[in-house]
Amino acid sequence: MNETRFDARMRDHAATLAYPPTPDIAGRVWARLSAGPQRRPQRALLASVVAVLILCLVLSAVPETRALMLRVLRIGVVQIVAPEPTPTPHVTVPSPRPAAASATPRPTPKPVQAALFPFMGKTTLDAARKSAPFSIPLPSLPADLGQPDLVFIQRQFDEAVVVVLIWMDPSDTTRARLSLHLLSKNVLAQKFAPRVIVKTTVDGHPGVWAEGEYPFVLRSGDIEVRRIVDGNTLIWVRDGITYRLESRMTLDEARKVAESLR
Amino acid sequence: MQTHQQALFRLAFLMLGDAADADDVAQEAFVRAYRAIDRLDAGRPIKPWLLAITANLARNRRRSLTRFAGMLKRLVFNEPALVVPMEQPVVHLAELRHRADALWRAVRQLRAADQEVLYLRHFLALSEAEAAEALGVAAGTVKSRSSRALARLKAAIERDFPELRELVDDA
Repeated sequence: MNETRFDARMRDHAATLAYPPTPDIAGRVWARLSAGPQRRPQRALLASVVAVLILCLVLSAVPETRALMLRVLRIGVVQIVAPEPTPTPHVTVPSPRPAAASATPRPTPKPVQAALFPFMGKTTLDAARKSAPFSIPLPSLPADLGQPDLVFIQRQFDEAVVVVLIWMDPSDTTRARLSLHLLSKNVLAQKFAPRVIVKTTVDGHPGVWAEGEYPFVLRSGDIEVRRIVDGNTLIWVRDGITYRLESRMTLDEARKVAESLR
Repeated sequence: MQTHQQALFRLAFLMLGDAADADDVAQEAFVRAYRAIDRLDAGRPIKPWLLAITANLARNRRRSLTRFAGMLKRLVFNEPALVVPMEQPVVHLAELRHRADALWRAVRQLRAADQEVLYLRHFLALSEAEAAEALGVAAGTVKSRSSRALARLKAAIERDFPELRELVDDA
């Protein structure tokens, strides 16, 4: 490698990065410095702890957010901050055909909310299979699904690896039809306030079904992945890998797709 | 402060990927620097010293619960989500994927130590001596770290960033 040439090219490209506008940091700092006396580090730490406690209390006092604080479930590496689980799904996204037989996705006028850009680590399926420390199976259902349209692999120090597979909706290229996340150990994913949570199984492995729109955040040092499909999510754990299947399918349909992974 | 605020903000933004966090970290860096100004050796350049404080704070911030609390607050109160700028619908992905953003994403795949030396040397265009001051290492160490980081970046580009191939082709 001609390191000098690469070095120079990289410098040129890096110089064109668009940063957010720099705020008036100096003005705020002067305001802070003139506002009060110096705090000792212990006091600052204590203040942080108190601030977090106050935040929790404030959040729990707001009716709309109280449910958020009620329960934290864990399935694989996914934490779900949610209301008490409901025994059966009471929000079901209608689907004209079972997943196994569906040839085309159900059209819906609602635009996709999740943006697919910018995710780190765009790659190909073959490259992801070569570099991921675990196998990347694909669903064989629905029959017309084929290979994913977008593949991302993200890693944090080689210990936390996330693979994201996205199948676009053939009838609407601006939205995703289905996405599958494969999350290794040491990744922390968090999901907030789904409307329905049901414990289930996939091929006998423990799983959770979550319905409703909710923020999903994946944390592995940097936060890069958000929810992709506005629909429901089936999460299950197999051989130490946590799988998340996002779709607009029902639980039964999603489970058939999950059990078709090969 | 106004002379250096942009560099501090940008380094924090590169390390954290969030403008609000970067603003907080840059402010805190100035406050700490102000309180420790007596410990700055006369004749020592101030910019690398400020960047060193910023990098330390950003590293801690990445690991801390503070971001989680902020994120939770933003989610609950429907404030704009954190993270990376220029989020666009996939339909515009091709035309909006600027190579500089791709390069930043490629760098973020590297280890934190590699990221930091590349941010200082290539994104903020610090000299080897300035980067050495900011990292608290010898200039020769910056050179060798940069070289290793560039090699890893090249491998990441070849593996995951076909849109950046031009950068590494015949280089």
